[in-house]
Amino acid sequence: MSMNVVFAVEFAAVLAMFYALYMAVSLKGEMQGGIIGRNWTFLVSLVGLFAAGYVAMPFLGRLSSEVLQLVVAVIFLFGAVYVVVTINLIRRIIRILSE
Amino acid sequence: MNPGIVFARTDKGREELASRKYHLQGRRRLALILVDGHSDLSALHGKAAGFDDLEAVLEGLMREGFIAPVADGPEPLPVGIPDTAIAPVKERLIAAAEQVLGDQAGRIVRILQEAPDTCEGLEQAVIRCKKLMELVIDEDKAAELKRRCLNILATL
Repeated sequence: MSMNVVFAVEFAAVLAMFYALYMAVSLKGEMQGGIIGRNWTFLVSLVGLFAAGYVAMPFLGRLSSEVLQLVVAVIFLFGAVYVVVTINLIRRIIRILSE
Repeated sequence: MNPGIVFARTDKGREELASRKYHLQGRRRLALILVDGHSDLSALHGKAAGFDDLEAVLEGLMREGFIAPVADGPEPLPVGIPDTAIAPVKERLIAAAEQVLGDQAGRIVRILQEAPDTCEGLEQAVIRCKKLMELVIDEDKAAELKRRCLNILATL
């Protein structure tokens, strides 16, 4: 595959993740606390971590294969944590709105 | 009592809310305020957290003719009759919100200010405030404000 295509996809991913980070940080001001506010800080941290990981993506090829596998596994782990926290948050919001 | 049962105020119940003719006090009056013709019993329990004897109070109100089960399902949402006695109550609700929340009160005060000047309107606004506070401000403060607001509404 052409390196230009790979670079374009990675660049798009970084842009999208930084847009997500911008939105997440902007929304933080709307939530001083509560169920969403508490979880939001954690979610923003994860988005920040993903953004940093995306920026580092072009340099990951320089790592040894063992370290690279570990990095990928850690990213998968945090991705799964992000999904669990988000689904749990939605479940609690639905519960409150259904009361 | 069937958790799906829906109660509506009778003419007597509406008269009591408007004029206090029958001198209902405290929890009995609060229960009458909560009855809206479209919330079933489980929804009323949700609105009145901590109101442990709600069913007994509702049964009493039903026996005395203030409320009656809705035979053909929930009524349409009530339009409500504007009540001049509501305005000072709304002011008290706003003051309570400012006391509990301090400089975080902005959005909550706006919801209360924009609530219709009816018992039902204020009650719905209080519930909306409680939910919003639980989600984005503070769960303990939400419970505290709801408790204060229900006490204020009980004085209507």
